[in-house]
Amino acid sequence: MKAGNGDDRDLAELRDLLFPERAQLDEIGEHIHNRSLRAGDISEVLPDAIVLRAGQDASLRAALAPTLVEALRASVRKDPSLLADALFPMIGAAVRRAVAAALADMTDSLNKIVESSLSIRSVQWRIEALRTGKSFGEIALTRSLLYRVEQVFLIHADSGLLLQHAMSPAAVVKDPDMVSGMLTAIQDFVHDSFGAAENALETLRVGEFSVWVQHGPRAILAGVVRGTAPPGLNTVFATALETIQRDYAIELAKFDGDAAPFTGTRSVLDKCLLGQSPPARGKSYAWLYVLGVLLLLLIGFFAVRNLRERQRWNSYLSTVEEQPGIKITKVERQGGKYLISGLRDPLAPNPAQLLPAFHIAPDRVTFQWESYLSLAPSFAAEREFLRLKEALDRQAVLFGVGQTSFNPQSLLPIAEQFRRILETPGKAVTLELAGHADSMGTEPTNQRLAEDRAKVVKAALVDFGIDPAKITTRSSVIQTSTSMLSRSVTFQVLTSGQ
Amino acid sequence: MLQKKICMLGAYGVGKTSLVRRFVESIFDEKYHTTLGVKIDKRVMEIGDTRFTLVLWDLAGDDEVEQANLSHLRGASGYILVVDGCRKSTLDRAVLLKQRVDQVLGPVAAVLALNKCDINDQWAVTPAMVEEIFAHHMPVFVTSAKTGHAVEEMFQALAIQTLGETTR
Repeated sequence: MKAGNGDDRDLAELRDLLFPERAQLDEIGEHIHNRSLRAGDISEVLPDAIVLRAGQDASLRAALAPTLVEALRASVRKDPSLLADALFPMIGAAVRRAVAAALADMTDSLNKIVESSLSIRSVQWRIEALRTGKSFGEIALTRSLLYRVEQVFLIHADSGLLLQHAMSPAAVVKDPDMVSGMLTAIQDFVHDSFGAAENALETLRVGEFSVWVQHGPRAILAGVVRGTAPPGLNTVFATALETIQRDYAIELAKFDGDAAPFTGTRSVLDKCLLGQSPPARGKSYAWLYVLGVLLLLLIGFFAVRNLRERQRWNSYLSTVEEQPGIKITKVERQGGKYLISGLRDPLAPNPAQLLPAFHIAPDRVTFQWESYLSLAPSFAAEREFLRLKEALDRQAVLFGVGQTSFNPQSLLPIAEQFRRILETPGKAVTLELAGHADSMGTEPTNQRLAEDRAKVVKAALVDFGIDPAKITTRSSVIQTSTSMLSRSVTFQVLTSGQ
Repeated sequence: MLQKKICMLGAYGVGKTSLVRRFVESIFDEKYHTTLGVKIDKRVMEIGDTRFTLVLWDLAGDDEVEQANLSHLRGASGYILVVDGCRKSTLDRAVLLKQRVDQVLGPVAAVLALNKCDINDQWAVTPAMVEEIFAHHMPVFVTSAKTGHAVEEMFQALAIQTLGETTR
């Protein structure tokens, strides 16, 4: 065993001598078999490897994609907020941009299409769409575009000098010579600065203005357009430029600063001054305005009438309210008719009689009055007057058969009552004395007797201080002789007008 | 009306714009220089019975001869070369510019403006130095941006040259 050990050692020594790379081989073997070492080795070259492979072909991308997608999906499933937080800072901007872009695309065309979708124009466009085989949207867009070619420049390509210029009457024009030069300079600028191909500048857009440029070998045609022009305008410009280059080929080649030979191009340029105005609305909507005005007038008429009627009604109501002895408790309106309910003193004037004064038809108003006694001073006085009158009307002075004498003292209360009646303000009254005689005896005697009886009573009243002008007398012979009243003087208070 | 495209050339700060400011019609702001590298002005001239327009391309003075400037030269009938009397370097530059322009345009009308130094009297470039180099090629004018001295004469001389070219 000992010798064997020694042999082993020798063998190992010999091996080391024969194969000095052995240690390295071991180390390499270690790197292959040991996971962590192998991982370390790969991690060193992995980024480079990825870059290298990605540069070669797309297979790495294809290989990674499913894994990445799965990883993302797993991550979202596990905790959605992680990805949401990561995306949050950009998502607002992204959405805004997308929405803004989409809206900008839509709005313009949509506006115009909606604006016209229900008009006569839209019908015309539909017919045109059917006829030409284009879509309705296309026709609507083209027809709705509003633009105007305000200026057209014909420019010598090399020098930038102006050959001819045309403008629409409304255009604001600065010195065309200088503008022409500057347009050429701008083209040079684009060409030099951005390496654009020669003659590359075709449109230049600032605000509502755009400059449409057509290039020819010797001349440039530039149109200044306000608004949004249809693409077909380019063809118009191109055709114009072609015409000019064909007809003025020699002049263009010989050009040395003298623009005079190009006067004739003016007519060609003028044809480029196209434009499309907004449809004349004023005309088609004129009837609407007229209708509107008529409607307003009608409404105004009724409003004024209604107002005046209301004013009349209100002043009627307030007049009625002012009447003493009338209290309105409710005013109702039912189908154009009025119902007035309230309290009315029998002495108060009848409100129905006031209606004509206010131009209100009597059949439009119904009254429902409940009687009451007003405490208004005028009514108290009136009632007192009526009480006194009634009392006086019941009085009588009685006489014996064939007599004309009586006790004057018995007249004192009557005289007193009449004086108070006379004191009632606003009343013109007289007292009528009716002398009566019975039918016994002769007719003339009886007649005289009746007259005399009235006269003596009057005389007595005058004695008590009553104005004789306030007393009238009459006489009658009463055929029946049974009543004591047939030999009497009776009283009746007459108010003037009665 | 007859029109001629004229370029104004010279090193940066020699006073090209200042020199002609009072002699031209202008609708563009001077900031066009810095944005576009060129600004366009106009001068209506009268030589004898002929009335015509000089369209002036006032090129921004770069101290490097750049392609940008050269493309603006196309179609020009003449040019004004400006030298700043205070700076010798601008004369060297003018020489260089003339060579480049001649390559692009061939022989065209030209004048040289030796812009007088207003700040001090120390001339770095004398009229004699300029004459020596340019007198064979173009008329030389000693001008002043401040007073406008000799600018009108310079325009006249240039205009006559361009006309002569037309009639040639």
